[in-house]
Amino acid sequence: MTFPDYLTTDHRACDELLGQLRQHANGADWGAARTAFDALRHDVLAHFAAEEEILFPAFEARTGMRQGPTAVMRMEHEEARDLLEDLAQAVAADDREGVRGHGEALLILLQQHNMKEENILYPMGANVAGPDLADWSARIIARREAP
Amino acid sequence: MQLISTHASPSPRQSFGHFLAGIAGMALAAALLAWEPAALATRWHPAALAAVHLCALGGLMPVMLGALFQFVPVACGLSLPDAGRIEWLRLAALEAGAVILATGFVQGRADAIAAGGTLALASLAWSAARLLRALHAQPASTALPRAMRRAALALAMTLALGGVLVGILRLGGELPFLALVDWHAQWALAGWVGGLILAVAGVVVPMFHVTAPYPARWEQLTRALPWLVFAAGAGSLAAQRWLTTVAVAALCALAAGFGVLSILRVRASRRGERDAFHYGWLGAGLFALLAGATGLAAQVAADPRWSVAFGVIALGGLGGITITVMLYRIVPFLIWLHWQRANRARARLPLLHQIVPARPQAWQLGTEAVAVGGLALGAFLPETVCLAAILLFFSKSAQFFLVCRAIREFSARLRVLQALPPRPRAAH
Amino acid sequence: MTAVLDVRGLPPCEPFERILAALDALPAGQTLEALLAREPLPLFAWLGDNGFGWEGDHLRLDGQPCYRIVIRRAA
Repeated sequence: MTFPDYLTTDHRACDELLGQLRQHANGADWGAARTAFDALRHDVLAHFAAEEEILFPAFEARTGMRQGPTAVMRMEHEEARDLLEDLAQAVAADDREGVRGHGEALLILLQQHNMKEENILYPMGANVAGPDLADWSARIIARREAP
Repeated sequence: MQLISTHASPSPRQSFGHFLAGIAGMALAAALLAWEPAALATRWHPAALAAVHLCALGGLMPVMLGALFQFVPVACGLSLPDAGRIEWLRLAALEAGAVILATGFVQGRADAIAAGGTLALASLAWSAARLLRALHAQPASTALPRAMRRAALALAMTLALGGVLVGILRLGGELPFLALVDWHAQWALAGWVGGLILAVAGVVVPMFHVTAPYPARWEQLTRALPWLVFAAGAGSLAAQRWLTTVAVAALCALAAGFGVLSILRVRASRRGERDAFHYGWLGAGLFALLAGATGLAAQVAADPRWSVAFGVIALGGLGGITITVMLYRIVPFLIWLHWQRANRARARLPLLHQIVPARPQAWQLGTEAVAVGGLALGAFLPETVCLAAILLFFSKSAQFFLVCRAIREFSARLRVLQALPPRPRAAH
Repeated sequence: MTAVLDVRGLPPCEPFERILAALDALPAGQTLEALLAREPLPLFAWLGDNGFGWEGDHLRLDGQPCYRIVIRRAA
């Protein structure tokens, strides 16, 4: 599997976890909500790590663009991390309104971020990777799935 | 190819100005119908023509443009550079043009129709050119820019035909006026409004509702949209009625298909929330289905009242409700995002669903949908028109108030956040 | 025989509505003549859409410009 397909599928999987968290919080099932949140936080952070540690440096080295797309993506990752912190506090305090508000903000933030990655950055990345696509993909997947 | 952040997109204030102007335009159209409920007796009633143009040009259009300024850079990776003050001038010209055009229709004054039409046309030609230029600078690698390009071309056709109609009114001429009016309306409703909704929904529904994407074959089918609109007009101009009927029936099938597919997807949403965004998109899907059904009835039945019902459902229902639903997503998120980016102090911000409070949001959306339903019914039961129009006017006024309040709060809090000392970030 | 309808000076939209009502009541074979303050633009489209033919001209009555239209049901 190449990294654009892999990372795109991973985006969708994270959306599902966020949906589960909100469903459980709305149903006041806080045990299940915490389980879903822990999985969500782990997966989103591992996804960001795979991009920031493998994909972005490779992209920057290949294109020479350090202040371009990857800088924007890193900034948006930072914003998503802040929201994950807010969500963690809301989940710890059984705060349904907090989960609704931060959850929706995270969903919209991630979707507009994902659109940019899936429509622009990943195709560009796969393009500049050229014959190294399989190698980049293997390293990205390994980092995302590292225990 | 560019990848720009929302930092580089037009300021949110410009979009907010467009949103407020558009909501006011729709409220004005509702007020006109309340003042002249007989307008919905026929689609040629002067007040009906005035209300249609107030709603479309002064209402839906500025909201669509304001949303596109934000959406196009994010979704297509295109740069839409901020043209600054000239944008406000363009918006003012569009609104003034819509009002003068509407006045011209109501008073039957060709000079006002020509002046208002020209003003609106000039303003929109500028926007359409900017959009098309940005879209053509980008290789259409994904479905979205391709679909947006089709919609923008339909807008250009609508404007060109609008210009021809204004010319005929002003200078006379032997051109087939009725066929051209129908074509103008088809490019506007099916090509531009319908095309844009199809394009945006293709991305927004799966991603923001956390649900299945539209089928790949569906995306291929929607590529036929401009060709069908073209065929509908060509059939009518060449007196080949069968061709128009087939093309219009296919367009209606597309609208209904979009409605069904959207409803199925939103019902299966795994977002974990049942709010105005959820029910609003279900409503938009239902109006798309109804637009397909009434559009077909208007084409094949001899009863002209179906045309009126179709117009109300397509413009006020599918167009209006989709726009209201998107506004309640875009406005709070833009406000929240710009607060968050200015929030170096990490101060506590209002939650997203508190920025435009969720309950009034749902009420406003609900009354708007009921009012539009009442107006559509008014094609057959004229006594419902006045009441439905008054309800729509109050609903849009309430929306104006809600959005206005959120924007005032945005400015006030942004100033506070910018003045607060930064708090050091915790290491991740 | 021709019925004559003078709708000059009526508030906006009323001329349009009065003419439509008069056409509804128009017996077959007769024509309707109407006097308006100016060219009734949306009416032309309605007439074309509903199978009426018409002839019109600009004239001056009592020193005021006005527009006269004669409408008949197309054969």
